[in-house]
Amino acid sequence: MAQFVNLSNSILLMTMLMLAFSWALTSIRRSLPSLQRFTGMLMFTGIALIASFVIIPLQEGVILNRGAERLHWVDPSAATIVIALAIVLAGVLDGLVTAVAVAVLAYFLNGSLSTVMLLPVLYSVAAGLVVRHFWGLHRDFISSRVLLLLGLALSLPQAVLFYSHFHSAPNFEPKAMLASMAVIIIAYPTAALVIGNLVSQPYHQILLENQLLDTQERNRQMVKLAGNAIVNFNADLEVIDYNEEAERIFGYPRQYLIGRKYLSLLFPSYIWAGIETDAQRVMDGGQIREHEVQVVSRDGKETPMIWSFSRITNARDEPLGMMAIGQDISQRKRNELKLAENEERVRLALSGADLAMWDWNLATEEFVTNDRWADMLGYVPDVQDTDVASWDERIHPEDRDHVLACMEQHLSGDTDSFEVEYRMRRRNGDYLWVLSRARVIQRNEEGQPLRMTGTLLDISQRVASEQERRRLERQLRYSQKMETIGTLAGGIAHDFNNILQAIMGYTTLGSTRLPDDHPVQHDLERVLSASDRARSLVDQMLVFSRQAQQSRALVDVEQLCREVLRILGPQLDPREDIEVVLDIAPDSPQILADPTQIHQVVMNLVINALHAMKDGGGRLGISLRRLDSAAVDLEQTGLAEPPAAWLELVVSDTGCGIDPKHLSRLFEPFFTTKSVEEGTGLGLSVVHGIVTNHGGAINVDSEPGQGSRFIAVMPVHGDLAS
Amino acid sequence: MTRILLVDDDKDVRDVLHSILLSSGYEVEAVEDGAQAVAAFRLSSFDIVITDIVMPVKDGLETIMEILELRPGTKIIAMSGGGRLDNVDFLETAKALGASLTFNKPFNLRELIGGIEQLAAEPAE
Repeated sequence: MAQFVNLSNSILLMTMLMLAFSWALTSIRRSLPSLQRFTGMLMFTGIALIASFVIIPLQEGVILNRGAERLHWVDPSAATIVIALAIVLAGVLDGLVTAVAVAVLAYFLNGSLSTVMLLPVLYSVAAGLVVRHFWGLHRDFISSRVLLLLGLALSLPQAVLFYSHFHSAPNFEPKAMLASMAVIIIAYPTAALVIGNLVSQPYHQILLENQLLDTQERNRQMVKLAGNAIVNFNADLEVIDYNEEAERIFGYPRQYLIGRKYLSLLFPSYIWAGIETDAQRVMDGGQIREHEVQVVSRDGKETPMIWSFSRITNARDEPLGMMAIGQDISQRKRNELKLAENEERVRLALSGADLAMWDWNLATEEFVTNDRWADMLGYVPDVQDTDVASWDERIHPEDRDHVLACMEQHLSGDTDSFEVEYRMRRRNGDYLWVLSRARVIQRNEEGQPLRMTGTLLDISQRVASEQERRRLERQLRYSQKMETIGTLAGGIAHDFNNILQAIMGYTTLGSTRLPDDHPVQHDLERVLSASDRARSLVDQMLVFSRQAQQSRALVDVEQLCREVLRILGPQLDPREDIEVVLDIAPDSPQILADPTQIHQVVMNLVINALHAMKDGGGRLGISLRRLDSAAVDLEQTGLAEPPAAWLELVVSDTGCGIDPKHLSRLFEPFFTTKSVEEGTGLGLSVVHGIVTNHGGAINVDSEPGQGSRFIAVMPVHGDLAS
Repeated sequence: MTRILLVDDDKDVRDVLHSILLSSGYEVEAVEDGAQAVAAFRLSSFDIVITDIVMPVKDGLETIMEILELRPGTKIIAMSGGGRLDNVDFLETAKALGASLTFNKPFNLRELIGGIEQLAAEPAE
């Protein structure tokens, strides 16, 4: 019994020390926060050292931790609880310092550090570390269950150690030993529980306070950094505080507005009346959410905001005031504006691209179109009903089958998209070429089309220019023809072949109309064979003329002109109403050319002129002169390099003139205004062919009723220019 | 009866061909150029078209194209007196455009009648 009382005294002593410690810890923490880190370490070390002097007498004559030979002044057994608690509650470093202090004390006072001394210290450090790791104060509060477990863990090796000493004692009493061991196993957990609870109390308080402070700080930061403006009002609706975002939007520093009733400064007065009523309603228990109100900042800037007002109450549901949370929606407003602008832009782009759009709901047969669609087809937007039937009725009959087949193919899913050019009837009955593009944008599970959209582009202009291109191609073909037949030999051959055809044809016809044994049949045979000879002669002439074309000789064009006038004398002389004016410049040069062909040119032009004056007479003019190299636009001729000079031949008349609509086709082969009997129409095309073959050019000036001037220019070879 | 459209700007040729075709028992309409031919073709139907190539207003090649566009499969005989010059052979072009037969002027009328008989015997396309 005595040892139990002794042990209780020791525990009581330690408890008192711990109480003193916790009081000191609390006071130091309050007065000297900087020393707080060391208070735990100092206190635990001090108490452990005092506890080391507690000798636990377990039985008369048996003293734990005292060697047989020598009295030990210090016993760490009781200090083990303090070391383990230091680790668990204060920290690993605090516990280790405490353990080392106890070991050093034992070494100096006992003279040596026996295993019996060292083992409990090491064991308590280990136990402390294990408990701290799993249930340490830094994680959570220390529960009584954990403290009991720690005490039990510390008591068991103590009991084993005690037994090993006790067993070898001279006055061994098994019954007393069991009682003493029971005391150890009960006393340690009890001590750990009582001391641990006492000492952890201030630590728990520190923990709670720190957590509270952290939460407060977290909340403060949350409010401060929130993207929303947050304003706190007291129960009298005076501003208590607002955060940085509110400060930014309001433009007033906090001290300026705090304490003011409401925020009447921030709102235009007409809005303010409403807000005041709203705020009162909130204080009476209502709530306002998503209320859009514009705020006017100190510098007059208006910020669109969405506000929510809520009443704030304490835990007993008494009103503390009101909180207003506002979101700056100017960015959203700007985005909405931008979106609207984009839509407008898309609309403009579509109308700028001249795209008519349509949207066809196949299920409801609804057919929606844009304004351009109506406009394109000559309707006033919104003033007509358009159903699908009218669409295919609008297609040009020649295009309809093809268009509808393409549409069918796309609707059935055979093609990815629908793209066809066709003619579409406008309101006034005209047809418009359109490029129609469309696509089914929605199908049901069976693949049946549900919705289709498409565009129409007016391509009338493009189609027109294609037609123009085809017309130009046709013209090109004409000009090729002109080159081919527009030569002297070619033209003659063509006409000659036709004449031969007539001769041979009539001969054959005549032959068929006579009996086979008629004597004239033989004569007709001779006509046919002679015609055959003529045909082969034409072929030979063509071959010859193509070779002859290559030859060039010096040509005196003045002489040629006089020759032509002489040949035409029989026609000219009787015409007293025609005056012939020959105007030959003295410096007119000779040219290198085919004399026969140039002769043909002058002849054709003069015959043309006389023909123009066949009724009423007039003046026939033939002039020759030299032109400088730069006087003629090379592009009109086939030449790459300008010649040394040009010879200009002008044949003019004061006759009927040429209808302007004929001017462009004047040089086409077989173009003629004369009746078939009067000419083949080859004349001017031959002239054109010869002049261009010689590297020259020919143009015509003409006024109906005034006459015509044919102006031919031909290059002059370098040596002949001067 | 086989109906023939005859196109040639040369009056002599037109007349003689007209006569021989009539006397061979064909129904013939004769016109002066391609434009008249196309107009006639729009108004009435013909089994065979005999056309010259080099003609004013509208040449034979264009005439062939337009007639075949109006009625594909129409039998066409092309003839020309100027188709053997340089590299351009109009009759070759006419054949490429769809002419069934071609004749270089001057040709033997019996050959022409033979050709027409041959074409008329073919089933219409």
